[in-house]
Amino acid sequence: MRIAKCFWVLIYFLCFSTPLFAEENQGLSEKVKKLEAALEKKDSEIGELKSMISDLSRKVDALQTLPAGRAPEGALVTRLDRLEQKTGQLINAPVITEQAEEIKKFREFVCKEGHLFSEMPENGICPMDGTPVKQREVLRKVKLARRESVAEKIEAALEDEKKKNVLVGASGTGVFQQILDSKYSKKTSFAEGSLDLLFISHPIAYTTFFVDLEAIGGNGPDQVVRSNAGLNGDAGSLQDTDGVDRVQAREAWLGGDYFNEQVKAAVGKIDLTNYFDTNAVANDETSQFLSTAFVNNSALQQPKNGPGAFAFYDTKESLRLGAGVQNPSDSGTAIANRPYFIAELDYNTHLFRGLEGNYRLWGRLNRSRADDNKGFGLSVDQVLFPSFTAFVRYGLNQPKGAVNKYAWSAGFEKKAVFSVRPLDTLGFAFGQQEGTVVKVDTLSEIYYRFFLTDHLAVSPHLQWLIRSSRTNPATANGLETEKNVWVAGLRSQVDF
Amino acid sequence: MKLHLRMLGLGLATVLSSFVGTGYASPKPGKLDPASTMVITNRDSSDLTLIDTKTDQIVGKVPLGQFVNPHMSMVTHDGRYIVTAGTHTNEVIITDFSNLQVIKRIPVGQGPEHFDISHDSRWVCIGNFEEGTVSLIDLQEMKETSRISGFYEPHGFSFLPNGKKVFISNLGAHELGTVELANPSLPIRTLVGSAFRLAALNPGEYLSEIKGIINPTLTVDGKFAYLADGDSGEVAVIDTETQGVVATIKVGNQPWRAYASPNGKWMLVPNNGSETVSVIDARNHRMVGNLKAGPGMTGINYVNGGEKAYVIASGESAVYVIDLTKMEVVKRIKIGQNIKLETAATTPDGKRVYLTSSTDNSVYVIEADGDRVHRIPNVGSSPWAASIMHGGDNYCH
Repeated sequence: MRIAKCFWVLIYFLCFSTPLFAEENQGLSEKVKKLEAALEKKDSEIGELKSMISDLSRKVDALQTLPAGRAPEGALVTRLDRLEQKTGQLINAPVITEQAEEIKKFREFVCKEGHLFSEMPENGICPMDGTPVKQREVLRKVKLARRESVAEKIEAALEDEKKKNVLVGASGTGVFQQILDSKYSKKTSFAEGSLDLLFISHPIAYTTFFVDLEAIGGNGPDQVVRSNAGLNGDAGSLQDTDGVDRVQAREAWLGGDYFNEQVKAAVGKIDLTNYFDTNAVANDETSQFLSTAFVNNSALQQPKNGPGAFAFYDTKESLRLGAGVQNPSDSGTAIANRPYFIAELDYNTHLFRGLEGNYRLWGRLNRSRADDNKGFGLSVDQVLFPSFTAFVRYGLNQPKGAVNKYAWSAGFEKKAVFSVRPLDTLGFAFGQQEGTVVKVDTLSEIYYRFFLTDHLAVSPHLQWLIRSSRTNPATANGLETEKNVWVAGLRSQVDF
Repeated sequence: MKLHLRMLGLGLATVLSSFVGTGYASPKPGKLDPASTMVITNRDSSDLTLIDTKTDQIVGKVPLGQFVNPHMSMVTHDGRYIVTAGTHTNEVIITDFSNLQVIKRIPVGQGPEHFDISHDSRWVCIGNFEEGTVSLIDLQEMKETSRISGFYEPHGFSFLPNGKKVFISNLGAHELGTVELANPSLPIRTLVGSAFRLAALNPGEYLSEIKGIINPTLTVDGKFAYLADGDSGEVAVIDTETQGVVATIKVGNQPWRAYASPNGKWMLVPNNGSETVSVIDARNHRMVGNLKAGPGMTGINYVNGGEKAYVIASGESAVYVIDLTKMEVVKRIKIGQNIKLETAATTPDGKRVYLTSSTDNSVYVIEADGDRVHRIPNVGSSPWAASIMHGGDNYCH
């Protein structure tokens, strides 16, 4: 049955489909040709792909067989480089940072009712209420793109805190002195010490409150070798008769710098010698010469510290003019009565080979004395070589009513005498002063200051005093030399 | 293996004990009444805790996500949403009050902390503290519509009742910014206090830190804003119509901010420098006097219609009670030892105050009548702020 069906289908196909087959045959043949062409093309592409895969396999094999340490090439290398760079950045930047804040000043324009503008409104009139605007400086906290490390922020905060606090300093001086003269066999060695506590605060802008509290024990050799010159400028015991040490306010003043720092003024309990008759190398008994005559001019005859005031005008162009007034008594009563006046002109110059020199000329009037004793003086320090500074002082008083008729001194300070000790200092001074009771003191001093640390120094001193006390026509200079005293000493100084 | 079992046991025990300890009940969506539900914002657990003020039971928690560090929350005046500032993730998080699900996180600027919601519940004005910008958020469209620059640590916000303006205080400057919603890009600026004079006299002090204005506090009628300036120790009274200063009142040292009594009579200003509270008559802007209080004051909450005030002295973990009818401090309530009190909210009836304490993860409830105190423990880690719809003194610090 199935064979019969196939037979009839074959007959039908042969009878009716022959022409169609001939037409289709041509079309099919073209299609086959196209397919063959496409196959050839694909074969070619496959060949190329095989070739590429083969090349790639070779490269991979080559990479796998590279010796250790040799870097591969191409895009992989670039990516590795970038990765290494990023890793390096991460490793090298472990500092924790935080966004920075800063308080800044801004100029603003403010209306009467407080309306604020960053720019001056038109015609300077407030657009809100029609009143004239005023310019003001205001503060604002701004966040900055700058990033600070935590350590920087802590440091800045501590620095800010320090500025707000009262600054405290301390200075301690200890002096041992030995008279090398047999005439003073019983009392020839002396110990003296002083302690100063210094406080500085700024209660208002540009203003300073300064306090110096001092305690001194011991009078030094001046209690047996009485002279106009003074062998220890630091001595002068404040001990009570019962042996208890007292503390005194050496200075306590309120002052500041005003008018673009051109005017400096202060009022309170003052020590005029800290501001007048100053000198770069002979003005400090704790670090320079110990003798009183080489700390300030003996002709200055300043009163002991008491209520007063001083002011300086600095041209900021070499010249400075100052004036001071002080009550001679520290009692605080009748402070305007018969005060001590002093005025000074300072000249700062670099005329000598460009090296600094300071020239000061002062005049004084002491109304506390019955005859209104007057005097004048000068104090000069001039750098002659970079490490060598010379000084000169001279003072002359009206003889009547003066303690000293005149006084002069000269000397030098040499830094870095030995190259291995660049911060040590050598000082030498020589001077004379004549008292009104015909006493001429001739004094010389040499010291060497060993710098140990920023806070500690030690200095041996040698002083030679020739004291003449009465006239003697028989001598060449008409004076009889009474004493010829050598004093050796050792001073230690602590500052912090 | 044993270790793992122990850890698993420990974990289960912790979870169970926390549920037992808190008395936490599962929230019932749609059942909570926003007018009687206190929302506590927990900074360190980054979640919200909801307390039913009728029972003082914790009735819900809303986890906000990891390290969100939320600063404060407020319930919108229509009670639909809880808005939260996500300070660490720089976003505003909107929670649907009906099902306590977070429905939107809107990115804003850096360090968003404080904000206010307009009385029509449409706008949120939030300060991006670290960025010095303010974001305006439209709660209808649930997106930030403006970001306004020109602020210096924008800290406190108060919408006018009519919603046309929002007042913004700068903690990093001595000025108020006023944003009109019709033209938000140009804030009006007003100088507050005379700190510029003090700074000129003592630049060292004022160049290192600025204690500006914590908050603009509106009078009950919304006609005036009181701004306490920390550096100058002055309170400026601003006319909210003109933004002009109409009065400047000298108070104590380092005033914190003003708090308005609900009866409109008083403005109380805690002065942390002098440890006093300045009482100002809000009707004539005149100083009435200074009352001695404690250290580290972080807020004041009125009760009994403004006749009594609780002053939070965080520095000594205590609350000072001021009787405003007698104008004197009548009591000091020691809340606890060495706990850090943060901020508080008063219930709408003015009868109870909910005070957060961050160190012991608790909320202390003070009853206005009798000043009794009881504690709700385990509310979350570092509860920072409390807020309730239509409540008094919804503030943060």
